[in-house]
Amino acid sequence: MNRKGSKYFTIWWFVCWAFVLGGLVISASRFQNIIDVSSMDADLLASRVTDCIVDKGKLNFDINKEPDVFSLCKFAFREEKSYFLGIEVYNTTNCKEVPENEEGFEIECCPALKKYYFGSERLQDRCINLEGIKTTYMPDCKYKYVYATGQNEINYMIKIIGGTDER
Amino acid sequence: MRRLLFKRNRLNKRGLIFDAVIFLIVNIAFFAMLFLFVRNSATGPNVKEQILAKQVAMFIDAAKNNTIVELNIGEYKEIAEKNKINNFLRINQTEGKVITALSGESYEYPYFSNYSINTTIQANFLRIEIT
Repeated sequence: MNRKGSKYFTIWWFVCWAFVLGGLVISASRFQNIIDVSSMDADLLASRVTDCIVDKGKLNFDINKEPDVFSLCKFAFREEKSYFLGIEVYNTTNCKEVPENEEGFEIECCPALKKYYFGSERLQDRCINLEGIKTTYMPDCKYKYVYATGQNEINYMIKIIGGTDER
Repeated sequence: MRRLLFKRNRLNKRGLIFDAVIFLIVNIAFFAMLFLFVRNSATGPNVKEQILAKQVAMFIDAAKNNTIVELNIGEYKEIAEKNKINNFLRINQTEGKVITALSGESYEYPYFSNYSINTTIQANFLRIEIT
């Protein structure tokens, strides 16, 4: 038996292994959610609403009353904190297209005539106040624009915002 | 081998060879375990059940009324059979969740649609009827 102790098995090696193991377990659990579909989910939500509130260029609801999107679009936000849906109505004469960058253009409008928000208030803050800011770890929001004629035969631009916290 | 090691140890009082071999074996075992852990984390049943749940939830949310979706789930069925799990895919319509279980645990992903959903598994295909 070597009484002086091993040259290799020192406490520092065990500390090293513990660090490697600990680091790996932490990073593996941190990246457990490998497939992040939040952006796709938000896009689906916005697209579904776009499809169901506008039919052949006509709005399906009266802009002066809060639309019942849940029955119109067959939705149910069972976990309210996980989803956000926004519908903003603009007068088309107030809007103009502003060149943005190679991605396309931005629509700039005067204040919305009507704003209807549903779901999580936290996501509302993210989607409305932090619009245009791209972040890695924050929930994603998607924006859709559609032109439609209201029930009063006036043309509007509708901005539909979809956001989700589900990853 | 053992005899040789002891022989060498007698020559080398600190038992360098013996120590080095054990150290090497322990290191190989440690890194093999790490490799298996990472491989399992990246491609194991936990990831597959995540993929299946999200895929089904996305199909439900993207579908219009009266849609039938057929999905090849042969790969997932094989994993479930290997792990002796019968009911590896469930849809809880009250809570609006797709629940998958391919490993010991289960994974759930919510959908926001309020459709009536009927699922059947025929051979390797999952048939989702959305009404």
